[in-house]
Amino acid sequence: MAFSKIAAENLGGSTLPALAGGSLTGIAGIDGVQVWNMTTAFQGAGSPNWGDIIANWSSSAPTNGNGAPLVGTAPVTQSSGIFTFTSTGFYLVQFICSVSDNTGADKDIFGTIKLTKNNSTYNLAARSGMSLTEASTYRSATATILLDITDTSNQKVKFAADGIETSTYCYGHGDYQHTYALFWRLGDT
Amino acid sequence: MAHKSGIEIDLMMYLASLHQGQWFGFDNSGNREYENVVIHDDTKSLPTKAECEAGIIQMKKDWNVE
Repeated sequence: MAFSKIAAENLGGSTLPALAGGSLTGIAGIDGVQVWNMTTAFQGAGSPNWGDIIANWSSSAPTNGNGAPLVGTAPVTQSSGIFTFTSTGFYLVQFICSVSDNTGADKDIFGTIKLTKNNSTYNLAARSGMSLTEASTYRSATATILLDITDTSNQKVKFAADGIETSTYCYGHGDYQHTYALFWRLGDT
Repeated sequence: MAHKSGIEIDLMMYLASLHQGQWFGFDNSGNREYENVVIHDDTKSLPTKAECEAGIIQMKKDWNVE
């Protein structure tokens, strides 16, 4: 059947966006996408942060990139590894964590997204595990979560390379993205 | 020359090997030289430039990158 023959009521009725003057209305599209890059590698989790990535985040383009890694309005701001959402709404958050160990195995590493709901206590919200089964192996893990942010003062996220041992490197670089986070603001809550 | 993983054995990798965690970084100049190192952990100190240069050479030997 040609598309022109499908009755409007069979396309979802009133839930469809409206056409107004040739433009679609009623669609809350993605209005902010941003990449944050961890610009410096580190080795081992280390006290007192135990893998939490608290420094060396940059929202600038890596040297080998092209143009600012931002579309629309910045979805987040960052301070000491804490990411604060700039407005309420639905967000897709993704963390890519890259690791290697040149000297031995490290079988329990997790790229982790941690969420606080009270601007204090952070809990695991998403994690993706990986295993370096022998020396000089190389892995990356991607953790992803969809969040409904209703309180920007108390609901925040941070990222961690949980469980990395003393000889394992979590890789980051200023010339290119290696360990990094992406934020999409999908629409209003 | 880079390690077989593609990782360049440079100042960043040498400094990362000295202590656990994120004890250092680089300023926002985009220049990742000795003069641009920023210390995040006051309990750690930056080796001299000569010590870093020697350390990078040794690390390349240790990682079989020569």
